[in-house]
Amino acid sequence: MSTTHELVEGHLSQSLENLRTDELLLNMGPQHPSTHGVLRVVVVTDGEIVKAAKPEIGYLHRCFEKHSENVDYMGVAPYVDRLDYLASMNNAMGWAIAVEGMVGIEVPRRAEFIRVITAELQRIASHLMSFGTYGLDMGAFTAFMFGFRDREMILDIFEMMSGARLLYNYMWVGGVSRDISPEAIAKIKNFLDYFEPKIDEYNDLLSFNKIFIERTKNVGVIDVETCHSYGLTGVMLRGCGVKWDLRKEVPYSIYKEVEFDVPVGSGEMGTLGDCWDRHIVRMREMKESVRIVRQLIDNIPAGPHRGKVGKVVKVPAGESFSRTECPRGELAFYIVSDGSAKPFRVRCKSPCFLNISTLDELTRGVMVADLIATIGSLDIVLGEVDR
Amino acid sequence: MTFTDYLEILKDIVVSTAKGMAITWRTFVKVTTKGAITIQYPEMRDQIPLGSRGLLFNDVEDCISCKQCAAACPVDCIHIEADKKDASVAPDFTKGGVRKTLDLKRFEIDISLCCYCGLCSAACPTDCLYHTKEYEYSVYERDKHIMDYLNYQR
Repeated sequence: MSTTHELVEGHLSQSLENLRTDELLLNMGPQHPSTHGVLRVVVVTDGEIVKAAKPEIGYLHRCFEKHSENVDYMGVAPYVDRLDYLASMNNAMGWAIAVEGMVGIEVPRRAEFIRVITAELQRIASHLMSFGTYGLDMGAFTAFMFGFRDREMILDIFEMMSGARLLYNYMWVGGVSRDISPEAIAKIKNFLDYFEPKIDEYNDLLSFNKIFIERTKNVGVIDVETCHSYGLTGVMLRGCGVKWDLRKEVPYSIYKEVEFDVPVGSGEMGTLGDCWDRHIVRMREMKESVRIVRQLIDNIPAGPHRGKVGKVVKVPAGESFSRTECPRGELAFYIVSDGSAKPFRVRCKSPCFLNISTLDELTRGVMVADLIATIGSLDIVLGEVDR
Repeated sequence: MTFTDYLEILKDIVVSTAKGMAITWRTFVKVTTKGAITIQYPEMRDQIPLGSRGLLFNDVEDCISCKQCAAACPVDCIHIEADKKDASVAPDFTKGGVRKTLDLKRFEIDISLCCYCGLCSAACPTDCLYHTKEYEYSVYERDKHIMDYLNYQR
């Protein structure tokens, strides 16, 4: 006659032996708050360990490239705005530069100044969004609220300048659609004075918080070779210590006239190229953007805000290529024209698509919670991944 | 990791989180004393700046049926039909003094297709097509989003 204790022990040991462990296929998304859009990640998990993570994209595919063959050069601009909808100004700037390269329009200096000011403000807005949602992914809600509060001010400025809050259609071929008003300039100055000390505050709030550091250091480490093999650019590349910024290396517009540093990751908290490095590069880039806008805002030259462009942009046959530094990396446009009013072929190389393709490599063998941390640090926008 | 390391991390966590909480509390005090940043939407409204792009409006009295807006529209949401004006009728002019040679028969914009890019109003030679500041026009039926500006009622 065995005791109850022995019975239970015997049953337990037996069931543990027969316990079937199996890999579990898990669908993260498409409706998931920390996939930053409609992204589905098919995750093969072994307990808490991620064995493989395959991003399934295409939920937001809108045929941008094919569609641009059916609208004229000016009409593509609203579609370009919708690629990376958190950084519409930077996208539109790339498109405008590509078309201008083909037509040979001289962009007035005033327009160039306004373009760079708006592009840098947009970069701040985009990085604020990234900062806020990354905090949210890591369980810090206040960062999200603060990020949105300040982004709202930039959107207000943009509404004043362009008439829209998110999809501006502001950078037209040959210049900008509207001139910058003195009220807008005063508002930008106010914002800069308000915002510059806030960056340090946000660093205290989130970046140098020990819990945040412990969650993000040594996670999602990427080295320079992997970066080059995937063709990564932007913050991903600068996060692992490579000083490569198109604004500095291949300056377009008036970037060669402004002074700014290119912040790079240095592995301060853990390994070089981890999630924390990428986060802090974004935070420091905001400071550099403020510096750029400060240099330009007082020196906007007088003149027209748009070059001489007809109602319909007449583009000669040929091809054009442009690449610009967007908040998420290098955005490139390649246009082939046959001389008609519409582009013959448009190709868009989006940085987010390359960023998300590294997900599997970055997250093999990590915990599920680290997968969230890695996706957040890639800072993807699905509108641009799927195009 | 030794126990002292553990205590060290714990100390860092407490100190850095307290620093962050201080920022949160400072903001809280500021917001409660100086007024909130958010507004209660239906009761209070934000000031919409001049030139903000909302619902499109066409002043048909000034429209010369040139169809430049329809050509500029990237989503083809503007539908215009116009006939040649009868020569026997007295000439008609817009407010700007442009002679209307065409008789506008139909001017419709499908607002549910409109992407508010502003290309049509920029192309308009008589400035009769423009964006208003209106932004609340949700309806129950999709047909009601087709704005017929010749018989316009709102």
